[in-house]
Amino acid sequence: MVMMERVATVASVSVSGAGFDELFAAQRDKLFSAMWLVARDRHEAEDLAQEAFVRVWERWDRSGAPDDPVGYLYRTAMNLFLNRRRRAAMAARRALRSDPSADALEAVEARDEVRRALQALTPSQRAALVLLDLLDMSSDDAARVLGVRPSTVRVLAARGRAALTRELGANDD
Amino acid sequence: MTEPKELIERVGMQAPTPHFTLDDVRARREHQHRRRRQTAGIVGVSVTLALVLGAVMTLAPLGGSLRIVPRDGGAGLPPATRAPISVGPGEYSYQHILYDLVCGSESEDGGEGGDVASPCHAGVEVESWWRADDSGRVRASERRNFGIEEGTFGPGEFRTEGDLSEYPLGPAALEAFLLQRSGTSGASPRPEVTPAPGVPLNEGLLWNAIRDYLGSTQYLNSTPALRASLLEVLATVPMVRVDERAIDPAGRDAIALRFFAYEQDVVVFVDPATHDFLAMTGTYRDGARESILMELAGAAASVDDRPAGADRSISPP
Repeated sequence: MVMMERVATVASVSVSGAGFDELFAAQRDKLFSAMWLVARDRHEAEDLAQEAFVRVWERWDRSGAPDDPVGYLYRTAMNLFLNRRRRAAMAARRALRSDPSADALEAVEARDEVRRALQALTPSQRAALVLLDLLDMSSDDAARVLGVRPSTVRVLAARGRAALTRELGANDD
Repeated sequence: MTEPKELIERVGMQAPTPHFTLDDVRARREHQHRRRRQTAGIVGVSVTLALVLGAVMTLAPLGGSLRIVPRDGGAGLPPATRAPISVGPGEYSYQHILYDLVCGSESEDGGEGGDVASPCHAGVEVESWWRADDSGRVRASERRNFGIEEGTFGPGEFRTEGDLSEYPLGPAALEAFLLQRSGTSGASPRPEVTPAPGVPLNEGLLWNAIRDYLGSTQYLNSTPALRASLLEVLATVPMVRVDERAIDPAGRDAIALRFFAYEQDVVVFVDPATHDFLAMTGTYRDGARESILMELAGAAASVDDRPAGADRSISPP
């Protein structure tokens, strides 16, 4: 299935009344894609997505389905991602290790160019861009996921787009 | 040129297929449950032993990270001897922060590369001037992988993770605000993970919320008054032991707030005079450690000035 078909309706998918299994089936690929883009590491994306599903499942069993399970899932995953980035020791490990070979997809040139350009963005900018531009969320929905104001999401995304354009322009030179 | 949205979509379309299945998620969840049950059982026995011995003990890990965390702390800070520095209209909240990060013997996942001097150590220095109109300046010795954006910024251009102006400064109101904000339905929900066996979730939520503002590059818009209030809240958390006679890593007189949370031994150093943030050290079992040192903080008149004299909110090293 083409990725855009898979992701285009993520913000509007409703699993209200359905079980966790249905949420998993509907969101696994979409959530993984989003986390793969923001984390830029396949293994971390798998870990973040799985952990987010576990947290939602726990919540589901403890107090029933969240009002907005999809929003809760993405909020949890993005929080896990951003909290990890904020944890200084984790940041050090990332900064200090150079192991891009962990992701075989680095070999594909066209994609690699854009993914390299994404490195110029801050984690928050990448998260905002993925939510708005890949998952087609509104800035209000993205703001709820990231725990910031809608205007902040728009600013983050605008700066991310500008940085992305700038980086790709520089690569063209 | 292709639009950024198209580029993002194009890369997103090429995302690999994830390997994990629902069974993997189920297995992960069951594994976490098993670990929790084991830890809870061990903690129960350990608490009994501790009571028999009449002492609160720290036990060596038994297959996991087991610590009995004393929860007789939370004494609060002794009164400050100076009011927090007020950053007036038109002035800049200045911070000069030194980060020292050392990775441990284990690494949890793949890295991203970066401009670093050695494979296991990074030192980063950041100076920032932030004004209430979101203008200012950031200077950093190394920005890659730390989300630090250097430069001089006009009004509205200084990048922050959120507006802090509505945070209440009274400790009781601030604590309630942070807990509400960190809750499931709050503006910044946090994972519902207790900080250590036997320690209530709320104590971890508070610590996670507070640490974001202590020398974090995410919130260079924090002010001395807000940091002082945050530390006054932290000092009342039961898992936090307050040591009024300590020396911070820069050799300054300090109040130390010591605790164990999220597998990390943490010490937060507070300026005794103003209650502003001085430093933080955190050590993990695998040897990874982080140190955040506030070299200088206070109010500056311009993005080229640094606080001096009474405009400093912390003692010089």
